[in-house]
Amino acid sequence: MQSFNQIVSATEPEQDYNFGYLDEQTKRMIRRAILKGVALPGYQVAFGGREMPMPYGWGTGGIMLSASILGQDDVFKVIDQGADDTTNAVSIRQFFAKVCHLETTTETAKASVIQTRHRIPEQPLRNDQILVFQVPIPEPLRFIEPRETETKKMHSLGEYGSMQVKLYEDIVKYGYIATSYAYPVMVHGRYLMDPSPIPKFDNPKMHQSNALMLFGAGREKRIYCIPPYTDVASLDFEDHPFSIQQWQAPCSLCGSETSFLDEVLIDDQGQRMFVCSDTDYCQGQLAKNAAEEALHG
Amino acid sequence: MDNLAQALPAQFNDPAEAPLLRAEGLSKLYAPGKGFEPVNLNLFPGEVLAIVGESGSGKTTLLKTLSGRLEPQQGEVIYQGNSQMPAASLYQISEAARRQLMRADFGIVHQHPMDGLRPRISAGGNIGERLMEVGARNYADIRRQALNWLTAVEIGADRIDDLPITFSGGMQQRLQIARNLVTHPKLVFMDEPTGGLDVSVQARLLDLIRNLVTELNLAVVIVTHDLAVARLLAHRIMVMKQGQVVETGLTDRVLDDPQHAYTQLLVSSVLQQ
Amino acid sequence: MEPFMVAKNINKTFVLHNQGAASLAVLQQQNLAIYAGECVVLNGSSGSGKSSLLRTLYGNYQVDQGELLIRQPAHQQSDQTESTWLDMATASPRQIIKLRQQTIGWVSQFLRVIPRLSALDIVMQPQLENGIPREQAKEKAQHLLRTLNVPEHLWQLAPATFSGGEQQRVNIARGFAVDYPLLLLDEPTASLDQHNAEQVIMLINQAKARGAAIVGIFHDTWVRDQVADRLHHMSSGTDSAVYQNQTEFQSISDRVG
Repeated sequence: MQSFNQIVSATEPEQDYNFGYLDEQTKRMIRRAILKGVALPGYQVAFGGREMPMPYGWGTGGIMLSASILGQDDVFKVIDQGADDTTNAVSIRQFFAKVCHLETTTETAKASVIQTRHRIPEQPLRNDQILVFQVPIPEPLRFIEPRETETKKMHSLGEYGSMQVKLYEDIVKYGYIATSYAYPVMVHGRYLMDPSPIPKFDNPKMHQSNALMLFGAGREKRIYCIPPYTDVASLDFEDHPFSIQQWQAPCSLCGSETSFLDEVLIDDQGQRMFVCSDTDYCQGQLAKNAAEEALHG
Repeated sequence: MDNLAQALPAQFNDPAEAPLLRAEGLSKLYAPGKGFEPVNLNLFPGEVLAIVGESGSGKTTLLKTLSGRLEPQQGEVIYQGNSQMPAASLYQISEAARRQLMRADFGIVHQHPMDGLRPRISAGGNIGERLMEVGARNYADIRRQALNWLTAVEIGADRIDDLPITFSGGMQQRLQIARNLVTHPKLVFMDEPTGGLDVSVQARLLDLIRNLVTELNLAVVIVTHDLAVARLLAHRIMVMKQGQVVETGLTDRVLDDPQHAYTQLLVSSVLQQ
Repeated sequence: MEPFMVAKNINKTFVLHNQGAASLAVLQQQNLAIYAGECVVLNGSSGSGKSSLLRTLYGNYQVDQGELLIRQPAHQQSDQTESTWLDMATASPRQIIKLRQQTIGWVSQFLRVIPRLSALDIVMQPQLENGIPREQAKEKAQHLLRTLNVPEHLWQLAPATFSGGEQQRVNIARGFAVDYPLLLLDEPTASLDQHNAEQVIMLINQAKARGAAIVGIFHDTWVRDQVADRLHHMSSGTDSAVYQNQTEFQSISDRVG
């Protein structure tokens, strides 16, 4: 009987790296951590993170997750700040193209696994898609409590009232809840979770999401998950309810009024424009506009 | 969650004569003479108990054990909030239940105020945190209560958004007390609360504590090495030496008619005014 | 009539452990009965134990021997015809605290209070502790301070800076703020001029008239003559009234026994 590794090596055209770069034992260990994370939505599972061929902060947590779940048939997309064409996004895509020999894409709809930093795609995800987040600091309570032993206890006992203090201080300083990214959420009414540095604009997309969401922190060696169709609630006050960012004007390129916009400086005179941060979505809208124009015009 | 709308509650009128806190055969010894040997005590609502003795006599260790923060080697600490509530043995209930009880019913005032405050959080946030911990989610209401308590401890309302690290020691200590009392605890543990303060500031704080005890019917366990503080605040006193309770009783009786050689030494060593 | 308080065979010796276990016998075989509406003055030379006996009656000293019986308010024992008695010599700290709150008033020689408290607050304090509403307590405190000629501009100030006589008058006002059934007065008029001493005498006589039992130490013979119904002689440890009531005395003692 053939061993699993023999099967793998038989399907592997190039022998320099194992499929997905990580060795099979590591991938198993990470998958077990994912399973545990799925079973305990929002709970931070410790795992034995490996050294990756890139520095911490470049998305090693997300890469380890992707490496552990990608298969030969997957179509892989990487988002960095909403864009598919930044250095980091291109590098990670190429990395997996090389170690997995799989198809990559920039189209949200075509992808089965999307690794992301800072954004959730504008286009609603399906339940056959998985979103992998790169997380710098997984502990939402770190702001209020520097001791790991104490934050662990707070999680285990569900003592989250003091997290409200962060929001209270915001209102004191700015008159409203000014926290605009990494906005803390309660997952499934049980665990407080840092959604990674996505804008709070994307928080509502996590609630009852169709897609499985996996979060990986490489430096801190933590994995946590939101299974599909899970309640995710952003913290707030009765008299200062949670709200998302809004813009005065639509996207200067595609005219979308519902997407998250980036401010872009366009010349040395300080001229600026607001455009969709999700480049794939923006291009999709442009194409749609063009098609409609062709139809009606 | 409980309605926490009132900042200063009406006087508790529970006439039940049951002790709020009982310690039975309680002991915690790190080494012979370090920690404390079996202690029994009862504490009633509205009562102030002072634990006095010199450094290393086990006062603080006893206070920690009584307040649910240090597991004893032997014995029990039994807390009963009121006659309708079941009595809870602090170290036999689950940690979650114990912490819940400590949040809701206990206050802990540390000797160094910054040990009990969050340095990077505004004064209002420091007070409000306790409310938010027990479920308050209305910003305006939290702020109003924080303001009431700042006033109650004589800190200017205009300091509500300032960080405690910008406060004087006496103000920090009063802020710590406000933070502890905002949730209307029944029992407050204080470890040398006037320890590092100027004499003039001490007097204000003693006055404040005494008024709060009367108005809120608080029970207080106060650890101090200052016999004058004990005399002015405490109904009863417990004298400790090398981990043992050598004498206990009515404060003025123990101080004016000490029976034990050590208490006599302690009392006679105080400088007279 | 039954006495309000009975001290029987009270003995008190201080043992100074740190001074070669020297023992100082301050009270020996003291017997005293105090009735409602009368004022008993402790009489004796300096060092005869007058203050010690007064402090013992307040529960301030732990007696070595003897009984210190105080009658409990009747309304607590509505279904009983006979009074019940509490022995302060063996009572718990809580019982003593309760007695002091409701039953025994005390005017010491010196005012000992939290430094920053205002004179008015000091006089209100014992009333507030008895659950008397703030407004009512304030009214009574103001009345007493006025009666004792404490200038109104001092009321909101802490007495630390007052003269000895002013401090003492604040102290007296506090002692009379609650209508205690038993009042213990330790030289209340010592640092007062004649006019203010007369005010104190008036307060004492008013208290007697409402049925309070009073035990006091008065050095000024003219004050003593105006308030005393009987003298208790420290040297013999007795007074004639107690001897006359020996039988009744015994029976109370037996009942508590």
